[in-house]
Amino acid sequence: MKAIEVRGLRKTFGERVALESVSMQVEKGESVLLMGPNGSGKTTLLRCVMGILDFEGEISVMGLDVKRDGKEVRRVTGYVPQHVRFPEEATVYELVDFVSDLKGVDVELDDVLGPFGLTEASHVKVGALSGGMKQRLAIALALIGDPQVILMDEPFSNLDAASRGVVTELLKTLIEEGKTVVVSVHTVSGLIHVFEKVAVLRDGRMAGLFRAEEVLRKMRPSYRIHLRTGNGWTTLRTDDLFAALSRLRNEGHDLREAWVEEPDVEELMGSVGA
Amino acid sequence: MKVTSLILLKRDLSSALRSRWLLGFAASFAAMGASFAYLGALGLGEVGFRAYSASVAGIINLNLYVVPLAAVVSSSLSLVAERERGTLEFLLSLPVARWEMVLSRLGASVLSLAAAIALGYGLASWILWLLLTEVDLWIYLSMFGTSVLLASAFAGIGVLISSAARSRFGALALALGAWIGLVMVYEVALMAAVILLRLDSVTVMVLMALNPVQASRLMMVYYVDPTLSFLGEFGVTLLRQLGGSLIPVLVSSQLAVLSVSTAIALLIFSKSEL
Repeated sequence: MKAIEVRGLRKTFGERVALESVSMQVEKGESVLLMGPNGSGKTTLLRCVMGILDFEGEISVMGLDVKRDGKEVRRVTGYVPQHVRFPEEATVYELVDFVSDLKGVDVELDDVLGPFGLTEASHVKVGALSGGMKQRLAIALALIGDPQVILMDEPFSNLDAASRGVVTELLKTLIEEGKTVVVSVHTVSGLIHVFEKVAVLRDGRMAGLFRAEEVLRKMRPSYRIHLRTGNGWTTLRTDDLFAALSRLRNEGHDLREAWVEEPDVEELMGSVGA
Repeated sequence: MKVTSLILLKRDLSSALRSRWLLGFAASFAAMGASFAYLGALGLGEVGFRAYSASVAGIINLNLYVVPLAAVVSSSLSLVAERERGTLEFLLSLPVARWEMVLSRLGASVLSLAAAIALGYGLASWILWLLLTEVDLWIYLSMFGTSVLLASAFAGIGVLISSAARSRFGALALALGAWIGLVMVYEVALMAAVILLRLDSVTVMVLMALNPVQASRLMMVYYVDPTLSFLGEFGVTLLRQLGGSLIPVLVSSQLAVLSVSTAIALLIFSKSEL
């Protein structure tokens, strides 16, 4: 039994085709980074897997048919939406209580909120939380009930550097625990090495599913550092961003004048022949 | 494990009872109910059942205008507000079926409206209790039940509007249109049809039963005056043809409006996008 199985998925919004003939399989305990430019259909794909949107084709999660057993699918799956919007008048505690009731589990508030630094905010209304806190709350709520499958849609979009680190570590832990994890991103982040596979969506079609190490090997060098020198701007390419920046600083370059460009998804797709 | 529908109903009821629309309705209904009770008695310059009847006549008209307005407006915002605020995705990502969401919103609307109506009736009955030596409690409870039934039918129409509307503004416009059409235009059109087309009593009865406002009017008049002498020849014919079936027919017609509206709302919402 696959953790996630998508066959011949098609999704349209009126005349617009958002997804066409998408098929993919994710094994139990596998981690997949779902990449694609904005508008490629990542969010739509994840929403279809959750049964939030109606679709043509077949999707099953942990052997459950999404169309027939959507409610049960959502019980065994944790989902973090891209744009997190909660009922603003509810407190954090009320939301935890509501979600745990619906998932049929008893939870300790600190167990849910503690890892995300939200325990102190448990009686604060959600409307009063910052964007980053809401994003962390969304992840905390998604993990209630110890779901075996976790889907996150652009989970880093509202996070500062410190929170990104927390979430990255959390993802590593979840993957080590054997959870099935699918995370979508629209830029090529430094996350590829955390995952086993990389799936690439392009114009609503699955362009390919690759092993992460293959992608890393073919993409190198990945980062571009644009640096002002006496002769104008120079571009360096490197795999190891921090080592390269450190070396440049030691060589006496003014890094306040430098900027770093992450590789984009198009470049990645070109590298792997997608 | 708690039942999903009850978890949703608890949350939705709590939210509905905090609604400004409902609080405004409860306050105005209570104030108007109490005023009618007090002024009705004073106006007649005597106490007893006649004072009560005058008050009841006021409450009937109050019901037929205010209850449908409050019911259709408050329930028309129930689903569309979630859609517009963007919180629908969060709710749909939880182990909840769409039909459970619709029925929970309807149930919360009906229960909260019943509470607001009970408040108005309660205040009025308290004032009447001071003035009357003998209160016909049964009539009073029947009026209350009819009001709740009327509110339920319009809550069904409101939830239907909410499932189809794309914005709160659109939902409000449709709700007000439905209220004007069913409360005001329908009555004038019916009177015009009776005069111009010389409709027979059965046809008039059917046309009245099709509209929850008119059905409630007939029910309330019947409770106050079981001979329907207020309605002249039409009342006599109605009683001769339907007799004891009058109330069951009128109750059924309102339940039919509620059921059909809810069924269409379920169908629309089950297929709707976010």
